[in-house]
Amino acid sequence: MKTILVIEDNTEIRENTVEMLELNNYKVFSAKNGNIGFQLAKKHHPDLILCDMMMPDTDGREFLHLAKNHPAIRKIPLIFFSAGSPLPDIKKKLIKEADDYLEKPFAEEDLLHAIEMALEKRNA
Amino acid sequence: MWKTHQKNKLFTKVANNLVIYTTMQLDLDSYKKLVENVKDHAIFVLDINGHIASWNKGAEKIKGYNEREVIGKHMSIFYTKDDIEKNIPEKNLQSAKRLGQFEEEGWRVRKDGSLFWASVTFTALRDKNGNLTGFGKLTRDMSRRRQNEDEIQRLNRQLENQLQQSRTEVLDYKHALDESSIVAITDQKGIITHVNDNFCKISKYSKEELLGQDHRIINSRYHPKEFIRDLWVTIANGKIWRGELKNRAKDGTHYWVDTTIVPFINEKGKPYQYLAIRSDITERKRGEEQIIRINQNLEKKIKERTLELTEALEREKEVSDMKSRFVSMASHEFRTPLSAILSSTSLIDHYKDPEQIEKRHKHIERIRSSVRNLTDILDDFLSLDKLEQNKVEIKNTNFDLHKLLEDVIEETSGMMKKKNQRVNFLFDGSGEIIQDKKIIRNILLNLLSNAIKYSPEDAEIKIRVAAKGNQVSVSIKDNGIGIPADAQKDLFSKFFRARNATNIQGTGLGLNIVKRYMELLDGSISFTSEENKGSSFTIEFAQMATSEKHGDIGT
Repeated sequence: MKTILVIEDNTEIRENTVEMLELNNYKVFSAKNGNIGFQLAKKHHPDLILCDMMMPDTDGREFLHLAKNHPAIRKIPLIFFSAGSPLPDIKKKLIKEADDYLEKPFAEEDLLHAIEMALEKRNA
Repeated sequence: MWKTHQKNKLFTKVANNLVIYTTMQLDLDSYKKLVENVKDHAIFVLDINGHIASWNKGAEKIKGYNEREVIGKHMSIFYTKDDIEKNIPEKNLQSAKRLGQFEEEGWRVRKDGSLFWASVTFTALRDKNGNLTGFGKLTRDMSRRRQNEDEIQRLNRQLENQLQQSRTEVLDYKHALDESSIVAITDQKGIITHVNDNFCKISKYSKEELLGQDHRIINSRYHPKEFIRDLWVTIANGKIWRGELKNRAKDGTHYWVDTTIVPFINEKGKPYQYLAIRSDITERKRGEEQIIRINQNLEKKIKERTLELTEALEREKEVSDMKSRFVSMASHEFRTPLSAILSSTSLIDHYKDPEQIEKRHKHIERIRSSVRNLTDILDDFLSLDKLEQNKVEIKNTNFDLHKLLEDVIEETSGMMKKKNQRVNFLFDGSGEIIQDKKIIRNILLNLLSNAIKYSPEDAEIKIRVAAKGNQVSVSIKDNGIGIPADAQKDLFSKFFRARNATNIQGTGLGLNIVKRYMELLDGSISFTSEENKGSSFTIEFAQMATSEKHGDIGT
C-alpha cells in the first residue's frame, strides 16, 4: 500500500481528499500547513506528496524550499494543487518544480490519475 | 580780387616809369630794347592828337598790327564802334591830359576785328616846360582775367544753384521722411530736440511736451536692461542701430516701432545728435503676440488634454487592474468552496450502503455550507454593486441591538467552534435602537467573521457595546494576526488584502462594504491594530436614527 501525504489548510478539502484517497487504498497522512507537512514527510517518508499552494503560516512555496533541501524528501514525487494564486509568477515557478499540478476544483478521477502517473514516473 | 587790384597798381607804376623814361628820350639803348621786347603789354606813344608814334612787340601781339601798319594811325582804330560814337577815345585823351594819368578798362578791337577786354593806362607826356608832348599808352589784354572772373561768377552761380537745389532736395527728403516715418532727433544725451507730427500722433504727446525732454519719456520698460544698453553702446560708438522697440504713449498704451537710429558725427568723430526713424509695427506685433498667445493656449490645452488622457488612461488602468484583481480573487474564492462541493459529491457516490447514511449526511452538510459560502460571496458582490450605484435604501426600524448581537454570535458559532474560539460579550446601556437592522446586522457579521478568521485557535474575541446618550459604540477586539502598519491606510480599499492575509480566504470586499454602510448611516468606523498582536474595530452610530435616507443623498 502506497503512502500519501496531503498538505492543505482548508479543513473540508483536506478531509475530503484524505477520505477519497483512503477509499482508493492509499495510506494517508495529512497536515494543515507546509511546516507540519515537512515534519510528517521526514517522519513517514511517503511515496507521494499532495500540497496546496496557498496556506497561512507556511505555504506551498516554503514547503517546496524545505523539501528541495532535504536529500530524501526531494526525491518524493510532488503534486501541487491550487485555487489559483494571486501571484501567477510564483505559481508558474512552483509548477515547474513539481511533478504535476491540479487546478481546484478537481474531479476524483483526475486526482487519482495524476497520482498514478507521478508514482509510475518515479518507478520507471 | 584784392590781390589782382594790388598787382594792377604795381604794374601801372612800373609801366609809368617805363613810359616816362622812354618819353624823356634818354639814350638808354638797353632800356628802349627792353620796352620794345615786352611781349605781354602793349606799350606805345601817341602824339598830342592821338596818333601812334611808337610800337612794341607786346602791342603787335595784343593788337595784331605790326609797327609799319600802325605808326601814324589814330589810336581810335582800337576802339569799338560804340565807343567811337560816344567819342570815348578823345574823352580818354582829355582825361589823361587833365589828370596827368588816366586808367580805364573796356573793350578794344584787334586788327582782325575781334574784341578783347583791356586795361589801359594813359599818361600825359610833357617836356621840361610842362608843355604836352604826347601820351604814353599801356594796354594789357585782360581777357583771361575777365574770363576767369566770368568763370568764377558762373561757378558761383552754379554753386548757388546747386546749393539751392540741394536745399530743396533736403527739404524734399525731410518732407518725404516726415510723411512716411516717425522722426525724432535727440542730442548726444538723449534730450529730444526735434519730433515730427507722426511722432506726436503715435506718442500722443504734443511737440511742446516732448521738446527738451529725455527720450525715456516714451520708454515702456518692456525691454531688458541689456537690450537698451546694447542700443546705447551701438549709437554712442557712431554705429547705426536697428531694432524693434515697444514704447509707451502718454495715455499709458503701448505701441511697437521698427526703429533705425542714425548717429550724426562731429569733426572729432563723436556723435553730437541722433536721428531716430521709426515706423509703426504695432499691428504686426499685435498679430505676433496673438499668435504666441494662441500657441501658448494651444500648448496649454494640449497639456491639459494630455493630462486628461493620462488620467483617463490611469483610471482605465485602475479599472483594468481592479478587474484583473477581481477575476483573480473571484477565481480563488469560488474555486475553494466548489472544490469542497465536488469532492463531497464524489464521496457521497462512495457511500451507497444504508449504514453509511451518517457519512452521506456529513458531506451533504459540507456541500450546503460551501454553497452558503458561495452565496455570501455573491451577496457581497451584489451589496457592493448596489452601494456603488447608490441603490441601497435605508429602512429604519425599532429593534433590540442586544438581541441582534446574540443572533450574529450564534450565526458565527460554527466557525468559532471549528477553531475552538469563544466570545466575551458585554453590553452597557439600552439595547433599543432605531436603525436599519439589515445593514447593522451585515456590519456586525462582517466584523465578527473577520475577528474569527484572523484569530488563532482557542482565542477569545471581545465584543463591547456602549449605548449612551444617542450614541451607540460597538467594538470587536481580537488577538489575531493584526494589520501591518503599511497596510492600514489601504484597509478599506476595494479588493485590498494585507500581505499577511494573502493566503487566507477572503474577497477583500468586506471592510470596503462596512465602511460604505457606516457612511450611509452617518456613523463612523475606526480601528487600532498591531501586526501579530491583534485588531480592534469600533463602529459608532446614532441610537435613534432621525430620518430615513436614500443611498444617493450626499453623493
